[in-house]
Amino acid sequence: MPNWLDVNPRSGVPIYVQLVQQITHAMEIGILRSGDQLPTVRQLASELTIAPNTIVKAYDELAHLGLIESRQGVGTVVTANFNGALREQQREVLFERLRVVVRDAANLNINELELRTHFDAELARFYRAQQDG
Amino acid sequence: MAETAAIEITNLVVNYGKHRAVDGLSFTVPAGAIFGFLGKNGSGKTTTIKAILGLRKLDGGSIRVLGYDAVTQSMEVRARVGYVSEVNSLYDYLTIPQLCAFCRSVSRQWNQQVVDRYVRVFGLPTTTTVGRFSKGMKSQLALSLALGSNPDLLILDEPTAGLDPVARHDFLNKLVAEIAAEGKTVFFSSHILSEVEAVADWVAIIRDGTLVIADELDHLKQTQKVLKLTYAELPPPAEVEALRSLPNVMSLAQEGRSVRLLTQGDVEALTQTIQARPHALRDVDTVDLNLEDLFLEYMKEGSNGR
Amino acid sequence: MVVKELIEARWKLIAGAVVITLVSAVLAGFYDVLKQSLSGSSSLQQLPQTLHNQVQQLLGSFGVYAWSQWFSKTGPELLAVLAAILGASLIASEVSKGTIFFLLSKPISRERVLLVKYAVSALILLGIMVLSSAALLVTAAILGYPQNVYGVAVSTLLLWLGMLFVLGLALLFSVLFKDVLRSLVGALVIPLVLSIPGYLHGWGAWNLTGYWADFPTYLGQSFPIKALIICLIAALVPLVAAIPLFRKQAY
Repeated sequence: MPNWLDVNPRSGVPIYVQLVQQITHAMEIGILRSGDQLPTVRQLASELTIAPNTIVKAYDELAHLGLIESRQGVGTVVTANFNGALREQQREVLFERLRVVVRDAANLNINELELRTHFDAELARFYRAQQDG
Repeated sequence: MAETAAIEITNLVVNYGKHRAVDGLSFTVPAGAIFGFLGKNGSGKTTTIKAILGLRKLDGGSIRVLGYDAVTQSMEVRARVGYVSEVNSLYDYLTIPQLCAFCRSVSRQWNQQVVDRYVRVFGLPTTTTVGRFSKGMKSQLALSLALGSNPDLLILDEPTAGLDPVARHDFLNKLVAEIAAEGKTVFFSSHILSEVEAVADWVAIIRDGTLVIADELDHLKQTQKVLKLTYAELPPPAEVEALRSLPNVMSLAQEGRSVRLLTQGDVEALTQTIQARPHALRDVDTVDLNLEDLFLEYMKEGSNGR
Repeated sequence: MVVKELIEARWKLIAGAVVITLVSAVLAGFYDVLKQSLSGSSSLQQLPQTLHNQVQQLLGSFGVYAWSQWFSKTGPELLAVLAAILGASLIASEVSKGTIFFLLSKPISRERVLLVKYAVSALILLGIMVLSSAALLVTAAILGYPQNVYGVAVSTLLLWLGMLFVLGLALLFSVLFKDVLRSLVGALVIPLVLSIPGYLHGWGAWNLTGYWADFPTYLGQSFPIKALIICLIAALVPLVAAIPLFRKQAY
């Protein structure tokens, strides 16, 4: 199963973060579907030669995000509602980007009025295109 | 006895004649961790391990292993610890069965089946004397034997030294698969960063006999960053010094308008603090650090470790 | 652990057994040859009178010959070397090979390590000595000389205790020096030094090595309580000294 998993221990990004990102991405593009079973901590640790605690951390994070759950007798599976949870997470990421834009604009001395003007222009252009098209 | 710490080292001092090999070392290895102990050769790693096992006496400080004092209760410690040494330390005139019989006679508990399984998995010959084994085979045998006494803690001193990359990966793989998954603690010293980075979830870096840092590896990677600042104009020395003494700034290097900070903790907050200062910045860039980057930074003189 | 010690000492054991047993047998066998060659030769007549008497005395009876050549001279020389070699390598060779770390990381007390090693070497020595004494007696029997079984047995025991002193000394140095060569030298030099009183007139009672080969004992004239006690204590002293030293050593 995890031949689509490609962890780079040498990265500055912690391994468990990479795991969370890649498993999440697998759900986004349909490799993992609702009800699919993930490998056990021990199996994955053995296959990737990384610490089991790291796998546990990744799984805990994914469970926290509502993407996977631990089922008695079955193991760790992708939740039924993972799409909802994914979308929730993607919304969070988007709003974070918005925060960064606001801050960066301030750093470039673009004032609130100017920024808002640009934003409104973009909104108008996007939704008008929808109406027209 | 449920202990949250597998090893607790407090202000350890060990002298090698006149030379102080370990000088006030303190850190804790949590139970169940795979703990990588890093440092250059001669920095005190092997001495620390020997002190833990009662091979050397302590000249100061204390060590507790699995709840037992390493000096006054050394037997209890050694009964629960499996040790894989870096030196060619196996009796080379014995065959594997003879070595097993010897180990059984000096251990409190012995599980021959586990040893047999690993000997089989590693493909080690049971009728040749150990002296004829390659270095890699000896390491594999040493690991197999260490597992035979059913230890709660495995201590390895540069276990993959001299192994080619394939054998090294194989060795680590077995280590992870068998030991760590059982919840046992692994403590290993190494100067091969890449293997520590892959397998360890905790790391400690030692330099000249003292601790530079000890933390969960993930936490280190998430909190230790390099901030690259590019100023619009050459910042005055006073400003540079002010930057250097900001909290969470570990070290600073300057080249003209370019300032490079090694930081820890909340990078965001620090970035904002710096941007709020009077001197105009053209650019602020955050760089992730991997273990090698971190190690090199910490090995530089003048960095204030935690 | 005993088996491992035996395997480790296998070459010393075999070589020691073969050489020493052969020497004792040959020594016994040569009695007649020597006696005949010397009594008939003219060189004997040319020796000064005191030497002449000594040689006569030496060859006078097989018992005296065997005692003086084996228990008093060649035997202790060869056996002391073997004991020193065995003892010197007990700890020092493990240190130089690096196996000491493996050994001492096991849950086994240092006392036990030292005592087991010592005991195995002591038994090896005893075995070889019994073998060589038996060879002496067998050769004597074959050639028709008187066999002083009691004397040989007690002398073997005393000499064994003496060799244990050398073994203990070698062990002590092995612990101290961590170096086989120096331990060996130390273990051989000290008995040599201790045997000096034997050459000085009137200092006979202080000659430790003399007690190992007590002549009246050999002749069966008395049971050597004094000699036994002295040899036993001497044998135990270096061993008892080595134990706390080993406990304190850092590796």
